[in-house]
Amino acid sequence: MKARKMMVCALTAAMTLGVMPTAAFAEAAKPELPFGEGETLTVATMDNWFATKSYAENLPVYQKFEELTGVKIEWEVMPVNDYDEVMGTRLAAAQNLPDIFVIPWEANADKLGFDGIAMPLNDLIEENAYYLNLLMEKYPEIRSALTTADGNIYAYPGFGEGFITTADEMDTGELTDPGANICLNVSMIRKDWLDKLGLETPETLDDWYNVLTAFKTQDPNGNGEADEIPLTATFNLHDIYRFGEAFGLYRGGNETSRWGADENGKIFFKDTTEEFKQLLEFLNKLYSEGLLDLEYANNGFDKTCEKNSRNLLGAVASDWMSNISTYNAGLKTAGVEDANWIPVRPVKNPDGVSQITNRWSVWKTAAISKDCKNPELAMKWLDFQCLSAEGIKLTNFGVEGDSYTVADDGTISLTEMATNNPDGIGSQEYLRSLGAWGQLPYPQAKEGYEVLWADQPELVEFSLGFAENEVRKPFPCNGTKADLPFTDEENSIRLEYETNIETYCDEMAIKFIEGKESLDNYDEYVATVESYGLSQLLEVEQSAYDRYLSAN
Amino acid sequence: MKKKQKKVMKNKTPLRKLIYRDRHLIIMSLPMIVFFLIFSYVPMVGLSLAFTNYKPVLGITGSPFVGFDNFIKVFQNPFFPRLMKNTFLIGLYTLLWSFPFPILFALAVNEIRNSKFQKVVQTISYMPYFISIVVIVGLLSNFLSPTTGVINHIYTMITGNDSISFMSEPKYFRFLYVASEIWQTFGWNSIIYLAALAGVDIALYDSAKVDGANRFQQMLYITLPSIMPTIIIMLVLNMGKVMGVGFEKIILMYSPSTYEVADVIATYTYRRGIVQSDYGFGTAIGLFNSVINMIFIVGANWFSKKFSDTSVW
Repeated sequence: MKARKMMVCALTAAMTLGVMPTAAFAEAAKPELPFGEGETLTVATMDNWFATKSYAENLPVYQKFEELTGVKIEWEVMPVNDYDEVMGTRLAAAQNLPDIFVIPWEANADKLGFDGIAMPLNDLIEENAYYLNLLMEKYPEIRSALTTADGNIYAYPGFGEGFITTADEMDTGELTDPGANICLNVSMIRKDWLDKLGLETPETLDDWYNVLTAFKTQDPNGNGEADEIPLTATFNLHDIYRFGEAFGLYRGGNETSRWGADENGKIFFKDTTEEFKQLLEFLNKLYSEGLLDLEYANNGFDKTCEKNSRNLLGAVASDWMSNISTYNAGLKTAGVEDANWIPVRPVKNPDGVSQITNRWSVWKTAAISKDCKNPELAMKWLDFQCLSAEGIKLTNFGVEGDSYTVADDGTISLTEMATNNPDGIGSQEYLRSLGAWGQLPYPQAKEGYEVLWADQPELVEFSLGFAENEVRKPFPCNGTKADLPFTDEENSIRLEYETNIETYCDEMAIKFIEGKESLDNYDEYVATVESYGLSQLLEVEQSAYDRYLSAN
Repeated sequence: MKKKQKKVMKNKTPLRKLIYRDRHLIIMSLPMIVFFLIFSYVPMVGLSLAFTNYKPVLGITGSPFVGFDNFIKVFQNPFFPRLMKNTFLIGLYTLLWSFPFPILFALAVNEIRNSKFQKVVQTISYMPYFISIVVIVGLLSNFLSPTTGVINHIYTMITGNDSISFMSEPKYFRFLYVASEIWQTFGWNSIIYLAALAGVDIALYDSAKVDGANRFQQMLYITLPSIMPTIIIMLVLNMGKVMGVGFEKIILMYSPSTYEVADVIATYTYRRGIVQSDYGFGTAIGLFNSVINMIFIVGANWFSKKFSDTSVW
């Protein structure tokens, strides 16, 4: 609290002094274009989410970057699903590495630095990353999220929402707080089914139970069979843990987070708490009454889409709001004209508040390898493509004149080509086909979603409807696994115990939910988890969290 | 005995001449020799990772030596017994069930008189082998899906029971794994037996016919004994794969709900060694696995040598 107040003071001081102080804090000057005429950088990354357009084809967005900066990019792309393995092996071999690489999702970003594969970036950022410095001044938590246990920074961050309001602000340097996120990860439900059965949108756990029961028993899809799947988990088991909110057990997003910190900064492990037991009881009730998809533990986005398209699915426990249009479109193609998926506010917690998580922390996204010949240029390029006004526009809206236009009053809107594509792809897919919304670090600007969802104002409205006390910051462990600054030694302790504990917890949770193991044996389960080294793991997480807090 | 050998040695043609005489054979085998050198022998240097705390930048030789630390970690791991058991059982069931199929199939195909039909049957049976594992597992989970799968539709229609979530029930995992394995490989694996069958002397059949043997007796007393050495060699070689259950298919098929029967050494190593980059541990457990495989294959060969006079070496 105190730290925040001080930050506010510092900020107001900076504001009153004008934009000038930025130069005093950071040595890096705003880069003058083009800064790398005739230079080449190699970049290794997983390939485009929109798989038919590979970055190796030099997509329009990156052609524009080349025009602006003069730097030619040589791509080393790998299929998204193979990236962890292929790049992980290359990094282990540590030879002939590309100048810049996207850090594999499952890799430990800090360890890459400790092992000397990724270059320390502190000085490079100080001297070359004008835009990142600008942002870190406003949000010091970015720096603490990046700083590792040895005090160095080894990764350039990628950002979820919550840091950038508009692209132009990065140009003027007058940053405003974007407030609530637009694209939230929440539960979703078929509003048309609710209307058909005369039900309200569920707010409490009991509401959910009643609604799901009605979905199962009252045949909302109208085919005369009780084949409805009232609730499923879109991606994996952890999605349905979201209902733990009702017991005060917070789970965020679709990223695994078994760790939480209480208000005193003390770390705890969620999967052995009393609240977790209550959650399992609830889920067991859902499962035994057939309200939960039998495949909740081995689902995937494709399977969920298929069930939805067959008009079987009533609700998903946890999903990104950007998927709503996909689900609705799937049902409309299948002939369900009035299909209407809506986001649902999270279940109220024991205090009666429905809370969402904001500011999806910072991801350690890209690193500069030890083999990079020109790290200054690499840093400048990364910083420019990620956080400059031109960069944000390119990565969020694509190419001006092709995918978006700017009106005289400055409003950005997507073109017909993007919103109503002749090839029948969605606007986000079209932007990706140009190279936007990519794999290299970029911030999801608030205006990015506002522009993208211009035709779905109800979604934007839903997200903006959360009051200040209903928005909380995530535990730093939410993003990639290495978000807390662990030392090398702590990492080896984690390796020793974490795989075992995670394996065991997931396995037992499924047994409890499916009733194959009675919840009377919960204490034995807790004891087993403890015998697998939970206390050692807790100690390690705690010391890393303390380190994180002191860096703030 | 010794004397005789010496005599033979003396009469031996010089090496140069031998090489010249067999030059075609040597050239033909060269690619395989190079292949094994590069892909099987050179990587063995990497085994030394098992005894180090591997740091990529220091390289294999520069990383700190930790002796048997990694192995001790492997054996102390609470999941180790389960991993061993799962690996062994899946390997064993695969061997037991999928080994006889190609032999039976080859015998059956051999009995088909119409050679066009025979070729068609053979070609169709190879086909699944060329389908990628990802697709096979995709087919499995689509057919078996409790909500949208064909199998469950038929099952619920006939029995009137609720659908079964086959892919997430531990008790079906091994069956599904082995059954799909058989379906995918029996045609391909039968090729070697068909080749062996083609080499059986026709005169044997003719004389058997003269002796009044019917077709079944011909198969039992001529065909089978003729291909017995091939069968035994294949069995010995396959014994070496019992603990070598590959992780690709299991990774695609398993989920936390089936870990208790599906988590094998290779998948655990993958989660911990590759994904979490604990290379020393991963190599140690892999090396241990290879040693067991080695014991199996040497044991099987010894056994076969002793009781059937057929052996790989």
